[in-house]
Amino acid sequence: MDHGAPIVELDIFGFPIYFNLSTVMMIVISSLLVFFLAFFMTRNLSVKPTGKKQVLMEVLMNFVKGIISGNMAWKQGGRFHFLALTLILYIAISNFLGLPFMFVAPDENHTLWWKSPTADPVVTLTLASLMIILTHYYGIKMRGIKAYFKSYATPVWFMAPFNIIEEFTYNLTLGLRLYGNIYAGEILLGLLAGLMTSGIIGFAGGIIPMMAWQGFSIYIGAIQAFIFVMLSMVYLSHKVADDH
Amino acid sequence: MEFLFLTTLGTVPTAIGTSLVQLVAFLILIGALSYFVWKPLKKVMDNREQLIHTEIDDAESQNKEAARLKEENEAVLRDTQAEISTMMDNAKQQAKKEQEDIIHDANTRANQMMADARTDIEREKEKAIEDINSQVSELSVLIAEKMISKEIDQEDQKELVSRYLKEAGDK
Repeated sequence: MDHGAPIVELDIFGFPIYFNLSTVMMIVISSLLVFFLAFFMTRNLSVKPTGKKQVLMEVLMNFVKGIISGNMAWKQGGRFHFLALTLILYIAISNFLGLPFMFVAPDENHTLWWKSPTADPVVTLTLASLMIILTHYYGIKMRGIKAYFKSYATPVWFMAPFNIIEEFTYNLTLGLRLYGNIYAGEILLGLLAGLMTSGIIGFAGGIIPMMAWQGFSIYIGAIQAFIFVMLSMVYLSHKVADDH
Repeated sequence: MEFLFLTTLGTVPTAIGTSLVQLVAFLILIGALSYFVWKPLKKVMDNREQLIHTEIDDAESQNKEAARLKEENEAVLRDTQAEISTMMDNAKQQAKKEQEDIIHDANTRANQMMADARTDIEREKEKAIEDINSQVSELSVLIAEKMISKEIDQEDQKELVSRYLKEAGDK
């Protein structure tokens, strides 16, 4: 079950830059899907909603608002509302994308084309790094550079190295947790698919676990999106909130 | 520019391109969703919140207004009732006074009339007595003339006069 990846090298200003075409494709598909889904669910908005679509989006909005205000005052956290909304929607949709089917090219490398973009550590670590960098940016912006550097020396000065290391472990755990969950889920889905295509007995034995695992993966996908946003907001609140 | 298909997952340099794509895609997604989806949705929700707030405020102020009007009406009603009862009392007193006045007037007039009548009667009576007296004296004179025509002596005359005088004195 070793899948190849369609890596392409592009020389830009003399530097070779590599792209994983499969991941790039899935990022674009996922982004477009998220955008159009949200876009068409929020047409004909009204103060007195008539359809379920608007209500559903408002529920999501209030849900994310709940996540943020659970960690910090809304006066500080309100500015992260749209970020968190986009993040949770994008990660959730990305997690679901790999579930219904997978596509492996019939070449000698078994190049994997269709998968969750979040089953690529590069994607999840990029998102995690973005969030961690944002925590530092807003930490400095909202509390001042003095308070920002002071926060490394808490509770005592010799904790500073651990606090600095912590920032990197936050980044790694945030990204790799999401990647690991989704990647493992898809590996298992691939194995079950292989089992089901191996023969009549394999199909009979594999269909129940396949369905169970797909259902469970939907749950995991939603939970992981929630956890990612939740932890991002926790890290943000550590840096942004004055009292904690 | 050179395209090259590698067969296995690359090392760190392969991450850079994909990472950049993800970053750019996510930033664009945030911008697009914020502009096309979240902002309108938030606006609608804020409008609703605002609307509910104003509706509640309106209802409260209207309730207050209604309570105030009720109070006012009750006060007016109370005032009116008090006024009516005073007016009734006044009217009653007035009527009573007028009644008393009328009765008093009637009494006075009746008394006056009775007194007048009495004085009239008295006067008539006196007049009648006077008349009678004058007639009597005339008659007396006539009688006296008749008597005088008869022959009476000095003695008899004397006695007669004194008797008359006595009688007149008794009256």
